Amino acid sequence: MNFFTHLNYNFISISRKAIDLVNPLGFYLISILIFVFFFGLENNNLVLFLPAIIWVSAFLANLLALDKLYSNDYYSGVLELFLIDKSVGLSYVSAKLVYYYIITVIPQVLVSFFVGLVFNLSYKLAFILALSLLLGNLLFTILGAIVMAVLVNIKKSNILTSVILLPLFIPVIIFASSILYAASHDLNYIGSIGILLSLVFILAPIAPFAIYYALKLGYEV
Amino acid sequence: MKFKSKILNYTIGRLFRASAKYLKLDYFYNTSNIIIKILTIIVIPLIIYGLIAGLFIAPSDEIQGDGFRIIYVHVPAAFLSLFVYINLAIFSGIYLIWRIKLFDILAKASASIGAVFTFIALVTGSIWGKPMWGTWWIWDARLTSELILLFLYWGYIAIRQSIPNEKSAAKIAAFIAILGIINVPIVHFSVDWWFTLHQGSTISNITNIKIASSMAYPLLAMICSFVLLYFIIVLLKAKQIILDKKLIKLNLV
Repeated sequence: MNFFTHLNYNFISISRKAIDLVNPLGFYLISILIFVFFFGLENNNLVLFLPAIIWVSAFLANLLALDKLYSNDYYSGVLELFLIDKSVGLSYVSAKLVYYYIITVIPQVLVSFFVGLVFNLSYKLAFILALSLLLGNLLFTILGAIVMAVLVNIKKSNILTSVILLPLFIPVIIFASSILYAASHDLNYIGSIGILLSLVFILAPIAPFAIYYALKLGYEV
Repeated sequence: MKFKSKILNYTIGRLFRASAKYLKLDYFYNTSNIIIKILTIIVIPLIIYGLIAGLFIAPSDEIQGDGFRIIYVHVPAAFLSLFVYINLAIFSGIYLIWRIKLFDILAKASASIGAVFTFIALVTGSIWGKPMWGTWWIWDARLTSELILLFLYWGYIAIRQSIPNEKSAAKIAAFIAILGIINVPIVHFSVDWWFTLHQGSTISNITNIKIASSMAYPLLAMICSFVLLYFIIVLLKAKQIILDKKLIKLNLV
């Protein structure tokens, strides 16, 4: 079973249960709405808070969606079989990452671009917001996949996951917020994007190995 | 996890196997008393010198007056908060690779000590901040990243507490501790990377100390004594954990 077989398998299983695709997006939009009610509907400062609102909502939506990452395969028992052979396991793990990124993150990024436009951001700022979300959520997916993998055998690990994952994710948030701050004040934001990109290039090649090892460790315990 | 570099794995593995006798829990429990005694004998004069020279003999600062003297607690505690985390990650790594139980116990003992040192660093920092900056707390890079370090320790302790199976909790916590080490350079370099209210490091390396020697030597003494203190507490706590395990084994608890 190579990478594309795994990817195909994942897409077939999501096509049979399309609600899983829409649920995180729905949560994302609703949580943005809740923030908006508290900051006031006609508030001009909303533009100031919008990046934070979108980032926090995306973060929470991802946190909930990550819970389903391995659960189907875990409960059907397939996951353990995939882990027997290393090449199969690695291709399974990387296919899972790509699948998750396409299914959950890309729709969020597209929607957040339009959300930015609806809240009167300029085209440029909305684009940068979406770009920062594209990179930041990729990093979040990788870190979350590693943490979820090590906790695969633990039942009801919801709160534990968030307590572990939030501090790990802070560096990314620091650089993403500096991108948005610089962009909204007409400063140079290329440097921070470069740092996020370099983090992606460092973490992405390591990620499949780390997740594979984490899954093995998670099963062992 | 198997090390891919075979030579390194072989040599270190042989080292551990040769010292297997000394890494047994019973042996550790019986002999660590000597180490604790030696460390205590060293640390008591050191800490007395550091405190007296720092709090009474060292001249007061030109700008901050006598208020700067909290540095003799704040800086060692902040140093320890990072030092303990690095130790925690190293212990966890050794436990994950070679599965030596003693290092898991040392890591478990380190976590809460590190959390306490981080907390002390935050509290003394905010006490120092009130007269100097005019505020208890500010969301600046150093303070925020120190707070994140506290949350990292919290996460580690939370794993150990909330997973009932002791062995699986140990493995998962070790993995997370290694993952969390990406935050250490961010805490350490935050003063250099961002423009912040927090002053730069006083002693970034031994050859380039930015304060007068009459102020610097007590500070170095305090840092050394805090490190030794950490080792003493870790050994004591590890002994207690071993004792707890034995009691559970004998069904006495």
